[in-house]
Amino acid sequence: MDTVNFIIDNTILNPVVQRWMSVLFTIMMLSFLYRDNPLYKLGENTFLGISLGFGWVWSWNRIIVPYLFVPLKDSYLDFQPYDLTLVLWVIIGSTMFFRFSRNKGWIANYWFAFVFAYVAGYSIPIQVQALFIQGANMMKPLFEYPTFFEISKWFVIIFGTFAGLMYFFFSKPHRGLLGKTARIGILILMINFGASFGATVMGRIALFIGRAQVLADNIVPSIVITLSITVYLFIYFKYIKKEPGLDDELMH
Amino acid sequence: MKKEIPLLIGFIATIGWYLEFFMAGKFFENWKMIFTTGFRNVAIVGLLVGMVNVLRVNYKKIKYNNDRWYSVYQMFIIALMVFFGSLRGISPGTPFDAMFTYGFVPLDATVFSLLAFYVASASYRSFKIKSVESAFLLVAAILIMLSKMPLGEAMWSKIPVIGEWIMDGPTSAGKRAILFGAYLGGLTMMIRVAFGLERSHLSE
Repeated sequence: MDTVNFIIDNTILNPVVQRWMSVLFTIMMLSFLYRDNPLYKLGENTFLGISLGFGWVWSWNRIIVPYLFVPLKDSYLDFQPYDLTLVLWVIIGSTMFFRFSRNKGWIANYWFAFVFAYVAGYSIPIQVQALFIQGANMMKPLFEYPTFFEISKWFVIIFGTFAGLMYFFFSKPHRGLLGKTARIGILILMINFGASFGATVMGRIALFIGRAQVLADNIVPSIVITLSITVYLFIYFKYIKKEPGLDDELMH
Repeated sequence: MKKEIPLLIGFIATIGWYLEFFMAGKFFENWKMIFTTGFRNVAIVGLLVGMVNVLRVNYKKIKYNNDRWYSVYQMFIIALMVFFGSLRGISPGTPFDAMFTYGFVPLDATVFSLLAFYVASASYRSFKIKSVESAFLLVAAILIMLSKMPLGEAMWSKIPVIGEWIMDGPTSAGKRAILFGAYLGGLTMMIRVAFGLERSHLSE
């Protein structure tokens, strides 16, 4: 065990190795900008492996043991009538394992029926309630707003939401006043889509700037790894990777 | 067994919430607690099924797929995380946490930053002002992008203010209009699930 601890302390817990790891993974993933390649796939599987492993260990420690195994053990040691519900839920939950069976897969429908009904019956009404409360909170008297800037937002939100809803109102043809309101509604929706697009792009660029800063802060690992990966990609695409020929792609 | 019991479970679980919502009393409080605990336990068993499924999918890939070494590698990383987690725990400063901070975080940030390149390339090809609607979309996108970078403020000091107005005013209105529609659809779906009219989640 001492050897294992020694290895861990000198690899994953060593700050130099951590910096190199960070730079290596960043450049491995960026190599996809050139073309799909084995290094990118390796990075992709590392990403999946770490996130799955993290999810497994975290949910085992924080969810599965305290909320499932400990209550089951307690009910086994000191059984109360209320524990029957726990047994019932575990049985309904376990029906999901039948999803792996070809013939008995329908038994998993018990699990789906309960989860869908719970989410439909509980989560959706709560979200609707929250939306209405949020909308109602905004409806304070117009002149309590301090500036014209805020008042203009109020008008746009109230009439914009109404116009947007009118665009989705299909029980009457979009002509006359309804047609004009629906037209304003579509313009409001287009501004919404444009703004969401712009915000998403800027969010991604912020992430990229963060990665670029990591590369700039660790200049030696960045140069060494970039050169190594470039040489590898050159050799791989020039000599190792077999391009699909006419026979492989078109003849079959 | 195949149809009636899932429909009955769906009816009881959906209507149960309405009973609790409209009727007061100890019985309905307990009823709510039983279902909340039930959902948690059923979801936890779902997590276990997910774990088994990861093993199953990778086993199949290793057995039949040409790219089996990637699956072997993925299983190795999962095993490594489990090993680190069981050896020194999951608190900050442990190898488990280091794998997350210096492995997952750079990979995650880089994967999502790659999208910036593809979105920029796709929008360059597809954004064309052919109508008033597309002009509104493009102008809003450009103003929001400018408002979020120092260049925008350097061009005109009011651009960040305009960006804020667009985000708080029309964007919020558009989002609300869409959400109202979606939630009305959700409520309808809830009633359909309760009365067994919606059966697509039961593979029908």
